Amino acid sequence: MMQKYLNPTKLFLTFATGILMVIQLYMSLFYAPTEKYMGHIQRIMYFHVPSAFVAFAAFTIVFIAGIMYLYTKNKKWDALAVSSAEIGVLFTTVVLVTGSLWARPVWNAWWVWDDPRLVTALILWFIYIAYLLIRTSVAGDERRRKFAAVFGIVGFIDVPLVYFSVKWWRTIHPKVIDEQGVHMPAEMAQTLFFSIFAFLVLFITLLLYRYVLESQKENVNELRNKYL
Amino acid sequence: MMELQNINLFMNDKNVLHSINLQWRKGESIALIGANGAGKSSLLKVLGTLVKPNSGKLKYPSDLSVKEWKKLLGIVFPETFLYHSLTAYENLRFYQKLYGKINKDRIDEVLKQVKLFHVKQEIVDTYSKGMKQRLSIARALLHNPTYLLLDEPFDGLDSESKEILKNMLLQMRQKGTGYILVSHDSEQAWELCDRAVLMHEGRIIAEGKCTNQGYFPFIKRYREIVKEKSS
Amino acid sequence: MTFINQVVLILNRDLRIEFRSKSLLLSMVIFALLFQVFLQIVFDAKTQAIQMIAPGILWLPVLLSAMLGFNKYGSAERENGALTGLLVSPIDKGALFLGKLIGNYVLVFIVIVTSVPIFFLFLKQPFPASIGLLLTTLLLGSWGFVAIGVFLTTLAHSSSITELLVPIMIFPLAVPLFLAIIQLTEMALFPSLGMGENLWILLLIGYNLIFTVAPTFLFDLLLEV
Repeated sequence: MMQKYLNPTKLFLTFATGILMVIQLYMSLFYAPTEKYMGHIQRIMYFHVPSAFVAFAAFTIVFIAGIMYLYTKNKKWDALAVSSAEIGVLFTTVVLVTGSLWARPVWNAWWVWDDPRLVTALILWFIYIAYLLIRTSVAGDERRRKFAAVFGIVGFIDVPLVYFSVKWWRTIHPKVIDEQGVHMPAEMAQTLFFSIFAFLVLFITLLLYRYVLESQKENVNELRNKYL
Repeated sequence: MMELQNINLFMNDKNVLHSINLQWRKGESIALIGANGAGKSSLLKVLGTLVKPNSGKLKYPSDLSVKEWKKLLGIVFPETFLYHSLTAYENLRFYQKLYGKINKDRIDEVLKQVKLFHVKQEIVDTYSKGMKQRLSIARALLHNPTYLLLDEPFDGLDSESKEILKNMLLQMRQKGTGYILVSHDSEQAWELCDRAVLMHEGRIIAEGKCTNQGYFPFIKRYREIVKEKSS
Repeated sequence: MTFINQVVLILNRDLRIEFRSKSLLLSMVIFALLFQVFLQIVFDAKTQAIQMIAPGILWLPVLLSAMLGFNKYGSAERENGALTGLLVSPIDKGALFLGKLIGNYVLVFIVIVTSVPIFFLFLKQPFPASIGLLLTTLLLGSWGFVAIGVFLTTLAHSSSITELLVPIMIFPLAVPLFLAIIQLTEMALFPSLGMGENLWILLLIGYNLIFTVAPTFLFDLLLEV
């Protein structure tokens, strides 16, 4: 049943992603107007912000899949969680790198500790790197899955704590950099929203491919158990 | 009655238990026989709720919960479960509390049974291997379990201690404690049990009543079946 | 046997073993003192500079020494299959967690008692502005760190993972805790306007509650085979 629709879905998503990403590139590089003060460097935003959305979506899925795995003990949820975590780490890396590239000319520093979002993203990255490390180093299938699920849940719950603690930390000290109120021209906003949409579709495509790979790995393992 | 229904277990991508069906009546003693790697220890681990089978069902006696089943269970594994920096007495007191109320007389009683009473205040680390094994047996019997899992309990014991353990098992059998005994000395296991179960490559391939003259025919049949399977 | 009795049983067992050999406790204390001295030497700067990093110098030896403890505390349980002995017994795994947490905390508490006075001995400014706040921070902060450490090590159930992964897992998760204790310690050590003090204490309490209560109640479900 599922199998029948799998390949057409994959194909459709791949095409859709391809087209959306091309449009996204065009919009962010040509359609959106150049920002007055920052210049072209501001266009990084159209990659930076969507990546952050994808990362957040990915880690939310790790969280939910972790709970579902502990509840149902169905390996499918676990496979979904790993797939999503890997993509999440990838996009968090993109967020950190694009953020730094943007910050260097604009804030005059690759990195500042004053913005809770920055610090949270970095900590997030470390948490899910640890998550992936757990998956490679804990022996025993069921135990590894359980351990990873629990860590995925705890890590996710920890994120708002990190965010608010960094925020309080910095509001008590004088602020170096003020948050800039963003008043975007309509074209910019359109480009940004479209980019977010395109990236989320990209995420779904990647997740589907990665998830199918993970379940196939499981199937191969099971077959080997059965016949070898 | 403890019942295993269609148990399958995979470990490290290997099928170590293959649709196992086993009924263990209260007070029944079963000798588990088979070559190394036949799945005997894995079967004991499933019964001891240490590993969860990948499929199949465990039916606990009179629909007890897992926790209540654990209370009825006594376990002697190749590892002693002992804390080497504590004394024998402290070890037993810990395990007794783990299973319920403290009862000093009972501790002394088991210690006397395994002939360790005179060294009960000594640190376990100073014990010989056989003494540790005997203490491990005392530890397993402390809470008067109704079901016992014994994985090579005779290992490392001298002939005198073997005799002691053998008598203890026979006594318990009379009192209605059931056990599953895994031993490489299958003839001895045969003597101590009501029923023998043969395992080969994760499957139960034969069962038989442990009658006085039945051992050699049983083993002969076992060899034949194994030969058949491997050819 | 009641839950509390089980907690006491585990606590009793571990402390008996640890205090019999004393090697872990001694190495934790010595390490904390040594590291304290080491940090003082490395940062031997002007009084003003030391003011800025004082909370870090106060806490680092305690936290790292606690990390030593996570690896080794209760390691007797991993020998001779003693852990298997626990797993086949009817013990509540939440009680196992809580017993270990309290035992670990006792050791860390001893470390604090020895290391913090040494800190003040070296610090040129002898009296903290608020001893009450400092004590509260020390007690709550170390509890939170120990709770998360014991949570992860108990969950890991094996020495190899504990040694390798726990440091990697614990620090990102403990960032909110660190920020809270460093802020509070700074307020306690030096006269300040007392801004946001309650907020941080609240964060600390919330964090401690999450990592104490949740494992206590969920461990039995999580570790059930």
